[in-house]
Amino acid sequence: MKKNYKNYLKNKIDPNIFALEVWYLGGNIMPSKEIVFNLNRNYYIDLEEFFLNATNHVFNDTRLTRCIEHWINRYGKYLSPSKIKKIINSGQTYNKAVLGVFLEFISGPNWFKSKFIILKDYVIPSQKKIKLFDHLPIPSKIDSTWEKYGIVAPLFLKELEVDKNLKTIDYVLQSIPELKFRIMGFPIAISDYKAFKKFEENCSLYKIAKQTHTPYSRLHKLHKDHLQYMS
Amino acid sequence: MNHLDQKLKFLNDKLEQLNRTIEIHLIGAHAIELHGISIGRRTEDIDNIKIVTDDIIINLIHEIGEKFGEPEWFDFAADSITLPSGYKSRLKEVSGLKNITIKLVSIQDLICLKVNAYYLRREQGIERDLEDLIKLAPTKEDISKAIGFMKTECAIDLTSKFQDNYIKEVSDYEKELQKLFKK
Repeated sequence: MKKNYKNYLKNKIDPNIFALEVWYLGGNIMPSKEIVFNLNRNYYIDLEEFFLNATNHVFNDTRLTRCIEHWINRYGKYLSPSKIKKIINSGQTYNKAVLGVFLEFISGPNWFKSKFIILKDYVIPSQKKIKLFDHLPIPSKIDSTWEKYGIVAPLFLKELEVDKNLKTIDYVLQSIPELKFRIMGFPIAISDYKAFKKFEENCSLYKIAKQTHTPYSRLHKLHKDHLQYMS
Repeated sequence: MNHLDQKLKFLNDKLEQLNRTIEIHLIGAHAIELHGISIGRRTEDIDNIKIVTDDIIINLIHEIGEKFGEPEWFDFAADSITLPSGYKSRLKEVSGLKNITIKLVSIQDLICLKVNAYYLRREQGIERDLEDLIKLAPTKEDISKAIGFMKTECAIDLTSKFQDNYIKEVSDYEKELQKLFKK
């Protein structure tokens, strides 16, 4: 069954659907036991869309949040700031404070001096201190990065339990095309094109451009110059 | 079938071919789920507290971890934790696979282990043990028993100098938990 985008958008707010996508993209987290799902994914997941969606899914479940933190820490550097900006401008909901935390996980406290500077205006720390996990007491060790953006969250140690939370790079290179081509160093548009084609071989350039958030004219040129020889 | 079942089935098939068996004494999130308590989303690993000594089985487990990209899917380190005495008599066998016997640690023992784990790991920012405890819904009495386990069995190897400090800390910790679990 192919991904139905209408249903997908409706389900974007479902934490179990999101957890499944974390798993599909190399996280080691599963949806609740009650959820029936397909272990073999057959649809493309846009990494930047996923990244922004992740900012909405950190508030309910410490396991899911920890897995997201590790994912951002390892794979955030492969994301495209301009695509993130484009998706925000297209209206995707995201959390402005959490975005700041994620960018800091990726590029450190001076992230606004990195390639992510173009997202500076899209980050707004929470005015009022909020708890990351409302269902739990204030954590005994508070994380300073989260706190900087107005969120009281448990300490995140980047080196702790990485293998528990993420699948190995070898596995990712074999099984997750969205990450594989980025890690291999392909330019973003080419990487996304190649990943998309792994799931839908026969589809129009127009559809690929739309669903990978790539300007059609750019993809058309790339296709004419390179991609038709690379599939 | 979930991903963990898939790995266990794979292990079972290999064990059948090799004519070997394994018994797992299960703790952690997966054990809580198998007791029928839903904990929501979870990492897919086996926290086993029964020592595995067969090198062939150990290698097999590592191979499966490599195949699925999850090197820590089977936690051997769980055999180094302090366990409530007599836990074996309270194990509950769940229907397993032909060559894998799975026995669950009892709910009360799981509460003891989770109370201890939360105490030990929260300083590292790990809060999932408290989340699991909330799902286990311990009574005040359960908490007292767990604290008793910490003050006696977990403190046994500490020198008297550290023991006094530890007992004091655990007493404060008990007050904290009693506020959270008022039943």
